Amino acid sequence: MKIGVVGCGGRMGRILVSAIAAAEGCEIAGGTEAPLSPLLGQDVGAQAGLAPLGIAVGDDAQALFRAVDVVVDFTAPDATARHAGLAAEMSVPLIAGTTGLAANEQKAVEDAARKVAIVQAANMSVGVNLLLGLTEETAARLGDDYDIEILEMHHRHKVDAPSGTALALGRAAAKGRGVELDAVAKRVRDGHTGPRRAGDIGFATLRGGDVAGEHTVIFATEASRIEIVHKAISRSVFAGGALRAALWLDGKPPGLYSMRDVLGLG
Amino acid sequence: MKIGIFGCGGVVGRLLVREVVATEGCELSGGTGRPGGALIGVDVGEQAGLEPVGLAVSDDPRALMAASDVIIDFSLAPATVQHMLLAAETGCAVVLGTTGFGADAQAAVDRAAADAAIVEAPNTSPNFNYLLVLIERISGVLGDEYDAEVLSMAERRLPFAPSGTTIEVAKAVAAGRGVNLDDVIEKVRDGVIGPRPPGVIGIAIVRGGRIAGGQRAIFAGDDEVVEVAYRSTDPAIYAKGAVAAARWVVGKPPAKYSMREVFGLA
Repeated sequence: MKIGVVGCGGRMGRILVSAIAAAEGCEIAGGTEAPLSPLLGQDVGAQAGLAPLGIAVGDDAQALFRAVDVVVDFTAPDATARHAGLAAEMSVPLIAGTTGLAANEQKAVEDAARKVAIVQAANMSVGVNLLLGLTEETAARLGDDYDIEILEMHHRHKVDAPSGTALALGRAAAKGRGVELDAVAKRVRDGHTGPRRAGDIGFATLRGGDVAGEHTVIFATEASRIEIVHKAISRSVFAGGALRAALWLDGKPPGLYSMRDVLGLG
Repeated sequence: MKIGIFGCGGVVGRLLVREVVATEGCELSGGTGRPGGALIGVDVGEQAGLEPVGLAVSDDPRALMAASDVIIDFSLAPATVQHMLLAAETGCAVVLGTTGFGADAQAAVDRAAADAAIVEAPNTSPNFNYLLVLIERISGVLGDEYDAEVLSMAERRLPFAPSGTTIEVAKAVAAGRGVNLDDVIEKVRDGVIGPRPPGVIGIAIVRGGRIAGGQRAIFAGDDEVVEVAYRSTDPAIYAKGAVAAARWVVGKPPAKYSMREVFGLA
């Protein structure tokens, strides 16, 4: 499968190039960067720290779409909206991992998905998406007799808490129970908290060292407990998910798909 | 419904006596103990910490089967072959909670299932059986690019390893990947073992304490790790699950059933 990487010189772009080059059945068929980028003309492989691939970094996204079976996009919101338009125009499926899209940019992606298959996910990690799906399913299955708690740990530089992924897991658990997270989230415990309120979804945050990101969803009832855990080790984890999405997209009809679709988690 | 208990003097056996007596619609038909053991002739209820129930612990499993609609067997492995022969002969349904038996007993179970309804129940906790469902799903989605390891803790008295529960976990991992556990299980690591062969399922055993047990399945990829863990702190859950299985299996046609079927998880 021929894969193109838009934004191939960015941090995620270089990781994607390495992952695709190493994957069986996949080849890098092109990479682009913004006009005026100092990387233009350099070898796509060499700039990612690999042996040269014999393909130069270009700035013509249209030409890239023409040359490939699927395009992977971890760029910026405005660029992703443009790329979605190109994907629709040229009937080349797109994997969009860019976050922070404004409403009009998101609409551009959704419009494009009427004409071509697009996988869009804020977090492309296979494991995190597996956790999201299983958390919703388990919350629905086990019912209110189980207390749900979400524990996360990240490196000391992280400035927000709980993490976006922890909150997404909380939303998945709440959805499984048919409630709104805001109505049941317990984000802080300090002092005389009283007994745990039935139905709450609790969050606990740890910070320290260089931990890339760990999340544990705990379902606790009397005398027994189930935990589902995800530990991220490196950013390459997103590349693995993107590759999996690329292989899955082959031959799919137009539509906007999620990583849960890719993983068959319904 | 008349329920008899093989091995009524063990840890779970005594809990089973209490659970059957306390459960509406169930009647205790008797209990057996080890032939020649100190419990033979003692009141079944009394030895379980209840008021006397007017039934003496017996050493005659055949007579107890004849007097019961279903047997819950939590006796020791050496008796399993004989108990299965009796089940085939009498057609009495059995919830088989005994673990640690060998290939000959397994063959006896399979043969008995032609003439009697047998629930193979190495672990009767509903949570644990739900855990198996999660493990099989995770294993199927992640595939063998993620190294699978099973870490198991059980009480200090358990005289064999891996436990029946641990084998269930490892089987769920193997089933998710579509492989046969016997072909890929790695039970011992000691000395210069060389790098981990791809595709194996490793087992590590921890023993200690009196009641707490726990199982953890670990799926370690290059860039992320997914874990699912189960812990129980009260063996009463096993008695409850076994009685639920007994009530479920009475009236079912002869066949081998699993606890996942009992709990509607299959």
